[in-house]
Amino acid sequence: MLLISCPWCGPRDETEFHCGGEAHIARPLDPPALPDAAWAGYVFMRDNPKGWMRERWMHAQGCRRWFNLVRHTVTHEIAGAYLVGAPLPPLPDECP
Amino acid sequence: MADRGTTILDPLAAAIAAASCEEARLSRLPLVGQVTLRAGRDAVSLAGVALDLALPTEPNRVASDGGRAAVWLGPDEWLILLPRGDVASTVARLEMALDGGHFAAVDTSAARLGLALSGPAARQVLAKGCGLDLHPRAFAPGDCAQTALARVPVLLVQRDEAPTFWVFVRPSYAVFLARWLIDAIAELRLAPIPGLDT
Amino acid sequence: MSGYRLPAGGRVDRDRPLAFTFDGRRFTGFQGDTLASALIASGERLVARSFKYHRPRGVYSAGAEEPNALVQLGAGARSEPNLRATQIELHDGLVAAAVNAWPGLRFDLGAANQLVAPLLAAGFYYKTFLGPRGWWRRFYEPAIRRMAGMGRAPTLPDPDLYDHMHIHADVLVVGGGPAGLAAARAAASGGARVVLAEDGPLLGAGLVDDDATVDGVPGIAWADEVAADLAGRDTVTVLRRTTVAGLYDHGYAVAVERRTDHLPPGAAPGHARQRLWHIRARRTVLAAGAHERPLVFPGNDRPGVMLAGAVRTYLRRYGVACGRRAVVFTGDDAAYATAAALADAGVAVAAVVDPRRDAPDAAALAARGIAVLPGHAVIAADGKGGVESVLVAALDGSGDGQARRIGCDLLAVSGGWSPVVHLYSQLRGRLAYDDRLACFRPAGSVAGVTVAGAADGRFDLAACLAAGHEAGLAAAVATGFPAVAAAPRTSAQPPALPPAMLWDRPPAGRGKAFVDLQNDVTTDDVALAAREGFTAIEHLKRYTTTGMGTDQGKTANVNAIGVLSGVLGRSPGETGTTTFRPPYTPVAYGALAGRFVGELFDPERVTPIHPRHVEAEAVFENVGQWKRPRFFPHPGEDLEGAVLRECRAVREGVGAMDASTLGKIEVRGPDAAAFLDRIYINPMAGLAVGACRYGVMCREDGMVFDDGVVLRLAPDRFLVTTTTGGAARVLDWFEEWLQTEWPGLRVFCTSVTEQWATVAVAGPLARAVVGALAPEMELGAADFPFMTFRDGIVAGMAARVARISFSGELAFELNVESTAGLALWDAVLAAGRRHGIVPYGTEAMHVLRAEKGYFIVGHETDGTVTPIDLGLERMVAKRKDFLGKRSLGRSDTVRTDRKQLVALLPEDPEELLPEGAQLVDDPKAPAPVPMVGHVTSSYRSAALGRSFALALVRDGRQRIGGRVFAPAGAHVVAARIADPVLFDPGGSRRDG
Repeated sequence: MLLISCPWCGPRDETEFHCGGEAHIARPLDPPALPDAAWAGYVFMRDNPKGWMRERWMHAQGCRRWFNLVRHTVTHEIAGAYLVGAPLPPLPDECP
Repeated sequence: MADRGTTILDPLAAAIAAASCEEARLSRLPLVGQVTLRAGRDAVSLAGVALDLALPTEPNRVASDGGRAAVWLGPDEWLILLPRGDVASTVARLEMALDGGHFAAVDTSAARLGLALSGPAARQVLAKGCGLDLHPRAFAPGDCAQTALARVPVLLVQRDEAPTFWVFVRPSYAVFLARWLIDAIAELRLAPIPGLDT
Repeated sequence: MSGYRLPAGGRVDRDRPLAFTFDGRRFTGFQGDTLASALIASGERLVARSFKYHRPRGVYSAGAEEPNALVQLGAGARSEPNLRATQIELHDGLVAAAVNAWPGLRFDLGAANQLVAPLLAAGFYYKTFLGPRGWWRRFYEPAIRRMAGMGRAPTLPDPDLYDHMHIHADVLVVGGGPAGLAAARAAASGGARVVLAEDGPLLGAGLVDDDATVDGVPGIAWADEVAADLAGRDTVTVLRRTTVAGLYDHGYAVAVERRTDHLPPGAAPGHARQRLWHIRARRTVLAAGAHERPLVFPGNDRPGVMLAGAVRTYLRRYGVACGRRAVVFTGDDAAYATAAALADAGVAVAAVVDPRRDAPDAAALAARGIAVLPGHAVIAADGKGGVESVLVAALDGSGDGQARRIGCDLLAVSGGWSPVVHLYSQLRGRLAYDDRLACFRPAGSVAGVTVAGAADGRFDLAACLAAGHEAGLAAAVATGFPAVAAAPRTSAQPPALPPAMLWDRPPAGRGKAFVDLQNDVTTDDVALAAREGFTAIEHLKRYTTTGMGTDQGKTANVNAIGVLSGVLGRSPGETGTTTFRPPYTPVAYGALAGRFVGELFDPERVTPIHPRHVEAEAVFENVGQWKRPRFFPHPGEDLEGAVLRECRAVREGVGAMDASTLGKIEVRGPDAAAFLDRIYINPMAGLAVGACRYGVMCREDGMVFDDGVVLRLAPDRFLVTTTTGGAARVLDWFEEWLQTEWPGLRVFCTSVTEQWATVAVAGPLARAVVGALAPEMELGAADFPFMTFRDGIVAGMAARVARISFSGELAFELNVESTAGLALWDAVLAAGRRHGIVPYGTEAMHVLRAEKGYFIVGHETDGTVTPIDLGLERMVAKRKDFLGKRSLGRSDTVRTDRKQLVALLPEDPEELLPEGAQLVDDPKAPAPVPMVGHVTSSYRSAALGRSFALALVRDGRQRIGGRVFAPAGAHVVAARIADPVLFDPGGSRRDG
């Protein structure tokens, strides 16, 4: 069971959280203008990298805030959490 | 007690009283007024002024003043505990002070019930069903946390170093949680296990 | 008779004899014994029969790695299968039996399996017993399972208690041997919170096996000092008799503490028998030690063949000699101490056989009259029942070239040591083969974890103490505590020579040479598997079942890897290991369940009115975690009778239902209306204050997600109701959009589900009942029309009354603060008594709504159903965007042949369609028959006087009037497709 640091409440058991999948999927501003494929890309298509990933999590049994987490999908190492709307941190294996 | 009203825990009153022991005392908190306050950044200090009680901005802390307390629930959310009779006037005062601002003050007095667990073994009882670190180094009087106890969502507030914990729970879960606590306390009244001195 | 109790020595209390029964015979042991040590002391060599061939087996080890001595412990409801006799602490009156012998251990009919052994070789279930067709399932498999099998699971409820405990630590130390003690002592010295988990009942117990001193005192005295120091610190939790079963990410460990198993059953009533610890540690030191490895040769499974370290443990810890005349066969230095210890105890040591050319210590042993045979190996252990003699031969054929026979009743073997890497490997820690030590050791690193001592391949005491100390200090420093303790010093010497293995030599003698004692896998099986192409270790494991017993191959795996590598002429490092998975040793289900059994099985949610439902003897159903009354049977009434009666009451008189479980969310703020407009498929912004509107919400994929009624309390304030199961989901959904996508919207949501208790009063007489309760309120249709609400006084209580109907009847939903819910219910039933009011449950509610064609989220919808499919196209807003709207225009969602909501009327009005039944056009069509839909709900209706169903049917609305068939086994039900609204389609009753 992962130990996830909520930016507000600090480290809590994974069971207190809800994972919202890949972060930074923005809702298209004008959905009716989009062709089917582009809309489907927004609704259905997600990255599933082997390695570092930016994810959305929500502290469901705590403060109920959404936040973003940088997690390694193989080792489960967590590089850090950042608030919704905060600038995108580089991934640990990305050149800054 | 007139202020106790009718709650789902009433039928368990005797069992709760009987469960208590020196090491861990369990009791029902009297019904208390509860206002859930959501307030955007611009409204926080105004709300504090209106309440005459500064809202804690440090996460998971409680600000108390005599008969009232403001419990941090989130960066824009607090639970105000106050006498039941003061709920309507407090909500009105907040609405007047924050008029036009980004806020919501909602009477949720019946949306949570409180239990108190106190005594030297209180932490041990909670640790049977709570993954939170409640060691004095990690959790102190004035701290609060929303977490799970026995798989039930709860709001924990540590009041003093006895230690005394308040456990607020949705009324629908209260019977289950009270039964679970009664069960968890039971071993404290038993003779120790021979040969087990951990 | 073979083993016996020494006149003195051991850490047993000879003043406290304990009587016990094994396999129906009575024995005596001492306080401090294990079942295994007491059996050996009593001269019992034969304690088990093997898994496949039912060969006689004796105690092999002294710990968790035991492959042979599995017993069925206890009787009746407390009976527990497959426990290791080496770990069972003896108590007075203990009852145990062998697990795989019938009629008994000494005369076991299953031993005849050895005669058909050629049929039972590796992978036999793929090759033999194949025909005739059907015989495997009917005859072979049941027979083989009966013959193989192990202990029997008890069939009675477990009378014991189990519980859970969470604990947080700066440092978790796994293992209370020398490395673990040194680590815990060092970590605790600076004030860190330390948890030390030790499998056995004593800390540092193994130090009694060793003659070396630590910090100037005998090792065991040092261990006692450290134990006392740890016990005196309130920052340290020492868990004895505690096995760390699994190690998981981020310092999470699960351990099982056996709290009362050392006592007679029922001796500590009320206490948890076992406690499952959830440990979260910032740093973990793994000091789990090592398991000694068997050597592989024909007859290596005979009773009397034992691990050399275990032989020494029985001597020193329990004061038990495992035989009267011993041969030590070792490729490793450590077993020389066993030879010396045996001689010290007065046991004749006939020879020390060492395959290495340079045997250490030969002179010292020779001086004691013990012959050391370097460059030799035991090529067979023979004897009936147990070892009577061994054949020893020079490895290079020197001497007279003849094998020599040496008489003995104990053969102590050592093939070196295997570090206990299980927990490290569970955490995906990499292992590497160490050629010098002939073992797999931890390599690489795992965040927050240090492996210390024998678990790291450091098998000598000095290295264990030093590594444990270093690891403990480092962990303390890493978690912010000072390094205070000084390193322990020891007189122990490191071993002189690396161990030797014989994996590349096929056994010279005849007979079975066992690689896996528990699963009866031999070197021949491994070689056969390799010949058949199962050369990958994971394949070999599954084909031969090596390492798949309850011991998970603790003594077997490395030998299997070694023998396979020998057959293939490659290094064990190239072969690699199988995957280690939790638990390290088996865990009782009771421990996993803890107190979540019986009435605490899972959290239950009840409404404030619940006590009345219980008094009314309602039958409850689970809706999520809620307990809702399904129906209120009268005496002698069944489900169908009660539901027909409750439905009739609502259609013809008046009924009352507890609707408190519906989710309620207050949505508030200047942008609340705009927000709800984006959430719901239908417009909400234009809703008038004081009015209600039914709304449906979709996910972005356009599929229906939840529904409910929205009340506008004020221009900037709405009360949203949700389904019972959807309350939390919908609130989370709102928060998700407000927090992540639309932070600019000034809206706050507050859950008020439990602030309110709700009673629905429904039926033609509802107005009379509510009127009696709320005389001040104008209830006429003109003053208080359908889909509006009023705040007022009901039964003397502040209440919100809404004209909402889920039954299609005139209905009022009464909401009061939940503390007044019970009083409201009582008042409604009292006021309704003269009108014959009937409480109704969810089942009647379902029938009533289905008669009206109202869908239920999760019943008619399953995440693949759009609002259009449900016939709601007129609700879908044209002029605004909302979540999921774009998806309603996708090529897949605009297909006209999607499954659509319709009603079905069975042609036989008495026939009930089974819910979930697939629908077909032609039941006689050849398979595969095309499916055209499925039944979502099916009921008998009092109002319609017949059965009916709701269904999703492909292109259903175009097919109204047509027929479909529901195959139900051999039987086929024919039904007509109908419009989903079967009752009062004009809605005049509801609006009345």
